[in-house]
Amino acid sequence: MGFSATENKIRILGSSSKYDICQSSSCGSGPRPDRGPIGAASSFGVCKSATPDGRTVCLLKTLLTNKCIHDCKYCENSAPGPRAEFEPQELARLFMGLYLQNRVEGLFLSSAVCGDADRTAERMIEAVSLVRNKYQFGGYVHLKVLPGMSYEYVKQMSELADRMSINIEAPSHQQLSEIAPNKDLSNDIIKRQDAIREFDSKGALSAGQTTQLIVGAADESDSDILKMMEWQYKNQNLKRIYFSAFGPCPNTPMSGKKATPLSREHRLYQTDWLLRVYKMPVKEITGALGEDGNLPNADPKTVLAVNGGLKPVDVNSAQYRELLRVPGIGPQSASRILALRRAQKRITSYKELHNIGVVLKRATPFIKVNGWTQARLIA
Amino acid sequence: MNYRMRKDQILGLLGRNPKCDIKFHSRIERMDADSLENKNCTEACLAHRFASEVLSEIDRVMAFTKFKFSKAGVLFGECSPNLPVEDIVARYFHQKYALFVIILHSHRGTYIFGPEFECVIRTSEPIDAVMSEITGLPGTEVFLDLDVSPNAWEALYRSQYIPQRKNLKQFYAVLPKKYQRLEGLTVEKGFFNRSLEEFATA
Repeated sequence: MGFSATENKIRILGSSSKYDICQSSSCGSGPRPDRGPIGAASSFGVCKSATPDGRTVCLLKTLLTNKCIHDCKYCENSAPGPRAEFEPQELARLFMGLYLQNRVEGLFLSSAVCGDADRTAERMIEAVSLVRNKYQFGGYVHLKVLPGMSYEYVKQMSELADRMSINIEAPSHQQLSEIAPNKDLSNDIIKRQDAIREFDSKGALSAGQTTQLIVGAADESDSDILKMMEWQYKNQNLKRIYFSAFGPCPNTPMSGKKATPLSREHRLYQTDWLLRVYKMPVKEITGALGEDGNLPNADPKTVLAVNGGLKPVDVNSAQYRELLRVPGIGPQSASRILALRRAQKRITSYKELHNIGVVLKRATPFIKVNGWTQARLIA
Repeated sequence: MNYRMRKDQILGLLGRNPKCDIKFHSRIERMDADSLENKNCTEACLAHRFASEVLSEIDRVMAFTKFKFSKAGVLFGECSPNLPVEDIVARYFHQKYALFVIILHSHRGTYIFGPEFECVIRTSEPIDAVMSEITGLPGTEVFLDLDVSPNAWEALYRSQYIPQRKNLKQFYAVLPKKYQRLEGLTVEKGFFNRSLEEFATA
């Protein structure tokens, strides 16, 4: 096969996968010892090449095929356009070539459903098996599970992947059926998530399970999304949830709909951080929501502190949880403050806090240093 | 830097930074671990900065070195680190590509490391001479059928851009400054990067 054919496929299938969001391989907990000697799944990666949209390219992110039986109203694959499909051998060779050149640090493989979900899954598994077994690749592989795929194929994927995910797309049954009439949230998606969780709990996935949601496609509110996030983290043991602001694709039924502002996506990521890293309960986070159930366009942690009337805390006596509530103090700064306290070192100036990593312009109204506090918010 | 460096790690990295003289190094050596690791004073902050400069250089070389694959089971690449970190990078790449011999060439010499090597070898011989001495390694024959064109990466990179999400501010934040001066790439002039003459002519 000539290069031009492969390059053309990369152009078509890479472009179709660009709306899928994934992290670099550094999210893995380390290469599994039973995998091959080529590849490191948890250390410095390759040069993350920036695209003009501010995102970076560090994985071979592609679809196996963009021929799809579903007619999701928002999806580029349901619009007329060029179609292509990788051969498993061709994809494996392409990936290993780029990996040995140190251009990519892992593989992200998704696919449209071509004819039958199981047939497509079989070809995805064949490609990744070649990478794992023939080329002894032990590094990062993220596989997308297809709606409607058999349990047996999910199991086979879990043996090959570091991370698996299936896109939930919308926060409720009704909202999903509005934008993807062929998909059923319980049967097609939640059941697959249950299967992934089962294999993850057995230690098959070093980087766990994630999911992705399109923000604004089904006119859902941030409150709906928060409820869904809480349920997903609690029941499906997700590592994280990705958000993708809806942008209309040309020639799709939703091409006339207005794009969701990117700031909404950003505020949801900040809220997700409060939920996932700060372990803040959803009940508390809902305090940041406006009357319409949406987050205001401001840092949710600062909004919570202002709305909740957070009193200034003394940095030399406050507990870890109290410090975490202060805008501008994250888990790392809070643990540094506590480490200094354990070593009998008192913090006596704002400069020391700045050195530790506290963002003073946000933190000063909510902290006391030497019994003194600044009353005005500069942010 | 997202993780806390231990005192011994900081001291190890300081030795590779020419900005850190012996007196500063010995003062840091005497400093207690809590103050140093939690950046409790200006000198601790400075030590962290020097150490992180070395780490950034290691990170940069790891990220920017691109390899070519030889039929003898060798991955060879060129790099240009400002600080002497080639040995660390060669060991890292060997960890990543365990079956291959890694050859890194920089202005300080050629660094070789691979399976059954006890330490990183540094030589001033040109890269071609070094390559000719290494014969086929077992286990690497399977990679001989890989023949990826350099345009494949270009095609992948171009396919990932979403024009609707264009965000040049973030793009320039991610892009190293020296690449912002490449032909075809222009920084949009705002209030702060405009010269007085440009204000006058605008």
